[in-house]
Amino acid sequence: MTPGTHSRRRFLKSSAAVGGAGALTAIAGCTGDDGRELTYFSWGAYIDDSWIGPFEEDTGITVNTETYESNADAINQIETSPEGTYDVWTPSAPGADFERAYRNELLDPIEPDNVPGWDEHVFDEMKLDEFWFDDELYAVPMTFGFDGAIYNHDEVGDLGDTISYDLLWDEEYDGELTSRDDAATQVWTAAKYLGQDADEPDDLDAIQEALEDHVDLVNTYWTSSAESIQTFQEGEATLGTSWDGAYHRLVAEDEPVSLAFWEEGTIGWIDSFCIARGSENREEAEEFIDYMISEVPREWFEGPQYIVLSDAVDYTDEELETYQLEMALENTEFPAYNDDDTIQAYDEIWTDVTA
Amino acid sequence: MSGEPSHGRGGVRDRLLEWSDSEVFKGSVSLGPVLALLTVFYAIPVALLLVYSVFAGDAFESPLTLEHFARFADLSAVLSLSWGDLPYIRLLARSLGIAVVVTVISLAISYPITYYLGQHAPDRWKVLLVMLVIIPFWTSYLIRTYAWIPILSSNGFINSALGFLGLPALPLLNNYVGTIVGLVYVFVPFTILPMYASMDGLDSHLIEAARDLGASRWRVFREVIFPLTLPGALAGGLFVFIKCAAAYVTPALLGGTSGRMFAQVIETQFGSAFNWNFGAALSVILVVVVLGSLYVAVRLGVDVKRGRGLGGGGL
Repeated sequence: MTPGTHSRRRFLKSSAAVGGAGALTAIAGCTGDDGRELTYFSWGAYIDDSWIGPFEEDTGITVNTETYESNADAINQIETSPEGTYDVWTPSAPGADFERAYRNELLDPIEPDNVPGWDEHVFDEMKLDEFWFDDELYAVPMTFGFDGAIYNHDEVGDLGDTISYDLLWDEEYDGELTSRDDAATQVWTAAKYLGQDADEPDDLDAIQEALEDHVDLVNTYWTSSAESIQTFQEGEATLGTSWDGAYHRLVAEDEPVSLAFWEEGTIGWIDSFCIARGSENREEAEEFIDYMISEVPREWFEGPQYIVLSDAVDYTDEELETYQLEMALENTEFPAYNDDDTIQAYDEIWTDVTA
Repeated sequence: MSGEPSHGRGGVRDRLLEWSDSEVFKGSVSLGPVLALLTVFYAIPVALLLVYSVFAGDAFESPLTLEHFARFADLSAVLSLSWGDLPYIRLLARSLGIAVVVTVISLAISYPITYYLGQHAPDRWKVLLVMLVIIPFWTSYLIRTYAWIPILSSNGFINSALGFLGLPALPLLNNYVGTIVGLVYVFVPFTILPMYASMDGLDSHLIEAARDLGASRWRVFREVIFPLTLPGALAGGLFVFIKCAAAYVTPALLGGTSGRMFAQVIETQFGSAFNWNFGAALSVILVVVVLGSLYVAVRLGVDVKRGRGLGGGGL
């Protein structure tokens, strides 16, 4: 070994050490003053600097964000990622997807004592038993919404604030209807229309027939709030099912639309904070959840336009009237969990109907 | 330097130099990155699809099965020609049908454009005109597709113009028309570019000779231009057909209830249906159908190399 080689190797080792230290410093610089961080995985509408920025400033915790397009998308992503990839996520709970997440062990429990906002701010009537499994809390509710009926009152007149699913099968609206492109939602809706138990329908053939009649009248299906909004804005639909947040955004853009509940039953959902399995930042995750429901719920409410289930929003009387919280809670139902065989059966029906 | 074989460090260096000058080394250096890329991003994912498609559940932890392929094509329904009981085949047939229509329309649009570009456009303008064909690629595919919504919708540009003229509105969005218009718009450059190469290389003296001998314009096209540019057209057409058969974004945004295509059902299996095995089987079937089309085309004499250099990404 020559001295030259020796010194070069020593140089490489030193460089690697300095480089490594530099990289660690850089990483530390990216993860807040004390290196605390968490990864928040949610719908795009729930990721906004209006509420994440203040949290980072006040706590020094860096929030890494990643978005998903649907509950199913999130479940698949968490299931196939190494444990600890995500810390906080926001599935719809209670309901089918939340229960699937629990059964597939994608959730870690939340310690209520570490989330004082749970006791202090979350509406008492929204502290549902379904958020608990084996005496452990798995979800803290944040926003509430429902698959209501939206209609263009300039085109179809005033239909009132509660209408029947019959209208989705009414030929008067041929080519003017829209509904959600989702097999479970479609089967649930058709079951309600036919008077069956929507959570355990007993006649799937009748449901398929009803959906075949329905599809002939529908102009288009939507998969996101933005698509639903655009469908009404572009005049492609005058009546249909949509999320209430879409309605509020259409109203904000002066579109002549009204919102109604479905007489036979309206699908409701609560997007709730959950801790992803294997989270290595539990303390930061619980701090984040508490901050969201205690410190910045008004920003949440003014952003995605859904009811935020925290009294820290400090709703005005006008807002309470506009968002009809009490009526919404009375009129909505949370669809039950479907096992894999049921999901496959529903998917077969929906594919057959739309093929 | 003596004629003695070299030993020690000098010998190693010589062998290294010799190896670095070999065809194997040069081939590895030039092909290696591409092979690595194709292996990681193409071969392994396709292999995973194959694996998932033949297991009942988790790969290698559940029984081997062909049930997913059987679900695609229920044999009793196939044998009794019960079209209504074969939704996945119906969807695949619809996708292939839409792909054929889009290919034919793209070729029909491309012929006059490439004929002008290759035979009549002044040389100094050719580059600029070809650039005009490529410019749309500078904008995101998604944005270009979204842009059709305010053009085709009931309140959109075309229907507003028709209304202004006192004509009835046309259903252009959320149906076959929307899907086909969107796909033609996206894919027409992929037929123009290879056809332009054929048209540009076409000897104009052949056209002049045919005209001098009294052939009509139509006959010149039919017997001179068309046969000589056909290889370019077929290569571009084949590429468009393959991409359209697997199209997802355009039918999802513009197709509505009647323009639904096969790739959308595959996406559903990997998403809300939580059935990756069946989704994998459907993907394998689509790959086989597309590769089968390619094989048939090559057997029929299509020179697929003329379409080389065409990209497109996950459209």
